[in-house]
Amino acid sequence: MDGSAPLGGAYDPGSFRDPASRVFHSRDNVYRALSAEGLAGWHALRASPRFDEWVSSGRLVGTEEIVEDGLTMLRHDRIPFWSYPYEWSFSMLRDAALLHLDLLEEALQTGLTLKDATSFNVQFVGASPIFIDVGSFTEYEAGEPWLGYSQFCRQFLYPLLIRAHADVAFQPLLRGSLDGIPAKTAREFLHAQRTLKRGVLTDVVLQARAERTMRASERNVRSELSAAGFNAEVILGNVRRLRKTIRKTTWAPGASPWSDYATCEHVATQRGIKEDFVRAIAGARRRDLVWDLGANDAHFSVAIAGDCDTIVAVDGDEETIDHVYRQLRQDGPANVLPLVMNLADPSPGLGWRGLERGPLEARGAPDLVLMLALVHHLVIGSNLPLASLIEWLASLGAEVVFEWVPLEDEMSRRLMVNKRRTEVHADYTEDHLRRNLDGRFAIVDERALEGRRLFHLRPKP
Amino acid sequence: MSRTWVLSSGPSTTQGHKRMILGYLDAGTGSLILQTVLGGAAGLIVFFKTSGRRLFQRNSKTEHPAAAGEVPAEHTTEA
Repeated sequence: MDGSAPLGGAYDPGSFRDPASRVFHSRDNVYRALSAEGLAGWHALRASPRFDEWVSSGRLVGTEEIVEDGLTMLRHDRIPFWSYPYEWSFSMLRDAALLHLDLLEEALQTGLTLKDATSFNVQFVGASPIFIDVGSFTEYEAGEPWLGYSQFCRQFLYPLLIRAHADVAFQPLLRGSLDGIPAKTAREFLHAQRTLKRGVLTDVVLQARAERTMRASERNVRSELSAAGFNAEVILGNVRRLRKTIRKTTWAPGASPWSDYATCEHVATQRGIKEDFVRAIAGARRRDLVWDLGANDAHFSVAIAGDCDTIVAVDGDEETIDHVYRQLRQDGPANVLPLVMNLADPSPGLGWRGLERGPLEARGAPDLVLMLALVHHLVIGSNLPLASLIEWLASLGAEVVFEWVPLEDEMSRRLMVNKRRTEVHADYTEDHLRRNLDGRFAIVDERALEGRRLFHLRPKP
Repeated sequence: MSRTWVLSSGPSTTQGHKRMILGYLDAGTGSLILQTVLGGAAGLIVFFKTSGRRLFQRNSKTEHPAAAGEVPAEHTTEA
């Protein structure tokens, strides 16, 4: 990373766009270096009557001003596990958008504003969105328009509208462009009768038109608007309008093949045995970070949530994760973070130099990985070589609870319906599994499960 | 007295600044004007005071910048 950070630390590779404020890490703490402007913005935020309430309600990351080595800087509370908008479900992005609008409205009412409106300023602690970019707050100066409006549309509003009205998944679009979805692209998804949906004509069609029309303009519009008396009321009018639009934007997904997974016969009969096996391992000692890969309805994440600090429940089916999120939001537990991700194509490093947004594996090493009823999807469904999958698991350096699902299993056979045996890697056998485990993992325990087999694996040094 | 860290493109002292630096984000000219149209009554007043109406005219792409951007709003006939 360019330049050295204070306290012998390193700048966060995702924090460089705002010249007034940069996050850095030192001695396991998260700090923020500020320029003079950045410090003025922080002081304005700290003096706001809303600041303490924002932090105590969990809507704004806990922050304190400190002086170290004669330098004034901020120290932030740590976020247990980093996630990105292209890994969130519809309801997660929607709640993040509403949080942004709520904070902007309350900020404007106390003489502050937000410099930008990127969805990367929001993280999730469990199923609760939290605003992390303290450096975004600054004093509102009369005459300044809302500079983040277009960005808010690209990164929050358009993905939601596209999912809600065109039933197109926004995650691949956001992963493909960290800047979000351009108005012109959103317009293509939201044509014909969809134009009549709330927000489409005003914020998509008109915005696409405005961008196209003004593309070549060299007008100093900011000065023009300021001279014409632009004020916070105009921004508040837009914020309230957008909040109404987003509240009324709902997604009614079609039937997912996984939505009634828990009622399948084999799931119902095996679940109790698996839960006992997992609980015994998780309860043996407290762990910081657990990954539940192929989490489905997050049954096992919830079951062991009391035994660890943070659980990341990952599944490729957005509808299922959206349901899990809403359940967690309502009933807890508060330390389970649900994410949408295809594990055969997990989030890579993205953005500037491929470092701006880290890959899954770079965001914190798990102590325990649950991989229950997933291996057949990855090896048969996605044609990953079994050896490669085990090698990847071993690279995580964590204990693993692994469920072997043989080729003869009913669920494997379903995946084989349109495949010949020769089209699946020949190493998909329990014998090959054991050979691949040998040398990488010690088998601490194993249990037969109606043709399947549960393993408790410990990585070998 | 404490200091702030010298960020690469920011000033290095806490003194002598009043005006904020807001513009690291490219807000988009069309979007800036659009929010006046959509921002309720207060926004519409601003919209008609500026030359924002040209946003929706077919030939606005060809307007001369000086004609549109440098005429003080109070001198236009659009208010």
